Amino acid sequence: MRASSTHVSSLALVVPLALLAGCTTLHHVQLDEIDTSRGRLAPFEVRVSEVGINVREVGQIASAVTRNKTASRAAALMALFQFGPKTGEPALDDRYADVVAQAILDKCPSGRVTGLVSLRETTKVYAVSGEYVTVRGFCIVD
Amino acid sequence: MFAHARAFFSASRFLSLAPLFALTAACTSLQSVSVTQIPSDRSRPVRAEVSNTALFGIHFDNDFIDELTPDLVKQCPHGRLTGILTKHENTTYVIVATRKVIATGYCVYDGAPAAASTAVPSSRAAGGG
Repeated sequence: MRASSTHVSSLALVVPLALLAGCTTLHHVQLDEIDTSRGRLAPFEVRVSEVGINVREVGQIASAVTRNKTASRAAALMALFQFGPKTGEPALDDRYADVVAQAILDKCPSGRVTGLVSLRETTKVYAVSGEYVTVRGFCIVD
Repeated sequence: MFAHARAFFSASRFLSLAPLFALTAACTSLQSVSVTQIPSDRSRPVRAEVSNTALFGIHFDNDFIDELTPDLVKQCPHGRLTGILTKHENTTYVIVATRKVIATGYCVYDGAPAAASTAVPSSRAAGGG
């Protein structure tokens, strides 16, 4: 009896922690050429993001809250429009990554960059996710 | 009936079958691959690898990537790293998932190779990102 109550309390602790922490996924990594012979290197990082939504999971939450299956059924129908290959969760606007090049130039106005590491990441907190594009690199300053 | 099923799914039986599952399951997937321009001078190959393992594949950050660039730069001080093939793969071992990023490439010295090869590593300057 005591053991089972311990298990329950452990689960009660673990589940909210897992939900709050968010699960991180790395979809894509790309390394560019690294030139350390041209001068002093100053590191920079550019990160852009958008909110991703999993309609099916939103419907499940709505059904659980309202105790009515209509929401999950409607969400399942809507989810058909999200069918197909994708990285992360679908976002309402996929143009958030278009500004990356300009953001790099803002960090490094000379445009002399090297060692670019491009990452496509997702941090998911159940039905909602953060969809990230991160670029790290070095600006050749001298 | 219930007792038989329980016996079949007993922990010891599962453990005895686990290695078989691990060996027969197709457990590696290639997530992404990229390559940059390949140089004509390929006499100095470099390689760096970072990995990150988590129970049930639940990862909380992607910081393991950060070591990759300094590791490559350390192998090519004051040179140019090019022809970089970046491979990102996932391997699952029943309940444990490992993410691995492997970068291979070539170190090229455009100037005097003899002088450059004796240069001091500058991982501090390059590893800040």
